[in-house]
Amino acid sequence: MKRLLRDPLLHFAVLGIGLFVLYRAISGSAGAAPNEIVVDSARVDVLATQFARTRQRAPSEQELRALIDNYVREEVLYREGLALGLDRDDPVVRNRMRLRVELISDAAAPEVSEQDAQAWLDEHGERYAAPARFDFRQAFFAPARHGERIDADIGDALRRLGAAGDVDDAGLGDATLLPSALHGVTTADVAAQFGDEFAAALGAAPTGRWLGPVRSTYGLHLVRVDAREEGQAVTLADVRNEVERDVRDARARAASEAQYERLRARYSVRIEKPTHGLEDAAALASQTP
Amino acid sequence: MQATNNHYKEAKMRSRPSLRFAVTVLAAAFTVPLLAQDAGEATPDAVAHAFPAKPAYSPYVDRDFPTRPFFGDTHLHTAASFDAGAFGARLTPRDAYRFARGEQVMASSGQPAKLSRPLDFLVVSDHSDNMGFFPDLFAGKTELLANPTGRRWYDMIHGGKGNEAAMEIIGSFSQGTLPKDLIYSPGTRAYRTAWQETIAAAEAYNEPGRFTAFIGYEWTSNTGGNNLHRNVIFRDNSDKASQVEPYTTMKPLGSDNPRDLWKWMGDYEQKTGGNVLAIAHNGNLSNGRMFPIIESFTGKRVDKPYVEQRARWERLYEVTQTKGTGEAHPSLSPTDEFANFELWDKGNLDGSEAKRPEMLEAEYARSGLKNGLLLERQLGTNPYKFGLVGSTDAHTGLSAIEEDNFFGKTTPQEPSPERLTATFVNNAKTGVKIMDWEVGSSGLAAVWAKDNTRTSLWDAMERRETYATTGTRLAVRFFGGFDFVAADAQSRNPAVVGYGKGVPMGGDLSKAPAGKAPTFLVAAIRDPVGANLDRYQVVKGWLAKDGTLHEKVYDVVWSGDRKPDPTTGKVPPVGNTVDVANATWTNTIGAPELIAVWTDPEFDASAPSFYYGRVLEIPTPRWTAYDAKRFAVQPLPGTRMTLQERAYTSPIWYTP
Repeated sequence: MKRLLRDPLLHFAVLGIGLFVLYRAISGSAGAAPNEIVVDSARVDVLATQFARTRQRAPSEQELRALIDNYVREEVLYREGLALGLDRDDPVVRNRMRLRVELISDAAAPEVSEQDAQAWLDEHGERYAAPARFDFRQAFFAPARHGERIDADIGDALRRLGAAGDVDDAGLGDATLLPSALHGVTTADVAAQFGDEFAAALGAAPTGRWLGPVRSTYGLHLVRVDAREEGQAVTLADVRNEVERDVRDARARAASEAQYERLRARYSVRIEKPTHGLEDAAALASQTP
Repeated sequence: MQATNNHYKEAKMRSRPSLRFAVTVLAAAFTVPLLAQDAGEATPDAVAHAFPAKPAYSPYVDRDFPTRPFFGDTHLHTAASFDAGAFGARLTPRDAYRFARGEQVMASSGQPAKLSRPLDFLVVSDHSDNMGFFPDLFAGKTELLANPTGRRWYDMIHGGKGNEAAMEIIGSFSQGTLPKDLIYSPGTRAYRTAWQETIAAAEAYNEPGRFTAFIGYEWTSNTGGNNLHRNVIFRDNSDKASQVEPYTTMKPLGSDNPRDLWKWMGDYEQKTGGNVLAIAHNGNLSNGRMFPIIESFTGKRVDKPYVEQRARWERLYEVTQTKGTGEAHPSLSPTDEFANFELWDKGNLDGSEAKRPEMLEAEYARSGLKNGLLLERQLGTNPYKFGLVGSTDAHTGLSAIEEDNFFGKTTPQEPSPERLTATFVNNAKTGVKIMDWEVGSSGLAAVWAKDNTRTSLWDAMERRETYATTGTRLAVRFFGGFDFVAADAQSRNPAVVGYGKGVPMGGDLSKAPAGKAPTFLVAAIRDPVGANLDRYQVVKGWLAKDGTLHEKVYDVVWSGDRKPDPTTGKVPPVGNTVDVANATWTNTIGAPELIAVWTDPEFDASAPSFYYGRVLEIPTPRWTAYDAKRFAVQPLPGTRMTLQERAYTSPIWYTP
């Protein structure tokens, strides 16, 4: 017995049990009993509010009861799941956690000051500049329809229109879904319907007279630019909302990255060698049903 | 953004049953006569007045109708969707809008992504179930309020100092001094719900006239793996949408029955004065439940309330997307040689139940449109009177469905050497197995609206002036009336004639004048950077006197000098220029543009009917061909390497 009492293993065991009891006592006194679920009035309010915002009316007594029962069920199973450590290896839970933590840093973007906004606009002005806009008309000549005569036909049409270009264009050119006239459109709008080459040609065309042929992705055109409003730089007042949005987004992305670096610095990471060679891993994966 | 949006807000013109044609076509002065025409009465005066024989001096006078289709995606998921997050998606709704507007973003798989051309609009439609982090702090969660710091932050937020509170929270979080009770607590964005964050993202990126960011969500009814999903799209801005939480499917708060969703939609409109519509998708994965005659929830025949509600709330159907195209099925339409296109017909959504042949009829758009005619005869309302759109249903935050720029349906399917050979769904029990290569790079919603704004686009969706494409941007017109003549196809401005003498896609014809059959002005022009067109077909479905349903596909106009086969009447194939190994093709076959007037040669004035256009492009490389070339990977046997991209217009209905 004496020998047993002197056994360090026993000392260890007693000490361990003692610590365990002490820990239980301390942690037990800190909060509610571990197996108690309190659905407090604030929680009930939350459930009722959520119901009301979804269904557009307050829940009945019965419905509220069902919501509470559902909450209790969820809480019981959630706690049991945590106790089993099911959250640790669940990719859905892990991803959700990751996203939520990442979102926290999104909020780091403070108010965007006037100076900051102006500096951003100076740097990225071309993004916000008002694009050039055109009013133009066009007559279409389909290569398939005119064949080798296409240049002659376009020349004829151009002569009939005259250099002055104030002749009504109705009736000239082929049937097409392409609009015969567009008003106040940007180069990008034109490109979306006629292709880039046509849009670029339009940007360089003089106003007030018919000219051509201008090539589009579909064929050849006679074109008359009636009016052109040159693109122009904008002032901060014009685009304050857009600038602020973009500054905030850029800062949020930077903050998220910075936050990760800070958090990462709290950890030391040790990476072990894989038990199998990479080739073996591939072979194992291909055997999985 | 609010002020800007309000500035562009259009006068509201909504009387659901009669909205379809009048709203944007003409100025207010002509609204009344056109509404009369819409009800089926002749209005030669109005037409003559609106389109006088002598052209007006100003070339812009007759332009008060949509002159170009706007292309967008009504169905995109981001990391806020729990399943997308589980797949590894990291992009937020903000990233999704930035990408759709044409900006370069970093995809979740760590590679840069950019569209060839910006989209015109986008709906971020994250799943309402599990969307949200409930606003703990905002709602005053007790654990937080019990902590003095938490209490102070709560008071700051409610006192209008949310930004300062957020800064403090972030600061203490970063420094590791966050009170222990608050360790999991949220920052500025998380004190809002995920829903409010979704709304805020849409508000931030909505730029009327340039890019429309719709507010929306997906209601994902999926009991038993049977897909009854709907996307809900708001016409409204934040002021109305943020008054509610999205409807969910999980009990006790939500329901998996569409009738309950429709009730939610009605309640929303009543409470806020706003407007919402719902677009269902993937009937092909519903295992016989999408367009029911017998309702799966009760086992009884659909009744009057069902057909009326469905007709009211579901004016569009998403007919093509990454998980298959659902226009027609070869076993339902055995004589349609183009029905076998990008099908997913092996089972339901999760492959937990294999497909049986009798399920198909209630799954495909064409059979749904047909059964709608039958139900209308029995119950007085056609529940399946829907127009068509396509969308992506991508779970990556990226609406990237160009064949040569396809970022997959889920994050693991973003470009990699593996995706040509990887497995997507594999249910050993049922034997349902779907490979990644079967995922389609599809589709887009094309909307004929006057302006690129929430209200203008939404109103066009509501009147069904839309068509679906499988991802390309061909422009398609489809007008129906009784007076189109061949010369109308030679007009320099087919749209002027189309709107003047008929109704656009999504519209109605009725009471055929004696001796007259419906005529259609059909026109299509290829994508400016895309492939030539093979043919424009009209698909007709009708209900005969004896109660039987019929369908027929007509080749109306096609490229080149091909002659229809004398026995079948079918135009032979256009040919194929695709070099699969190099993933290239040439526009040396096909036509850039097709225009014609077509008259129904077998019209029965007493038979309820529908007509819709189907436009086929020439064959081009499928995304699998680009992958095989770029990654130098050998595709699995049976992998489809080419396809004929196509468009499906909303139907025009004829009602005796």
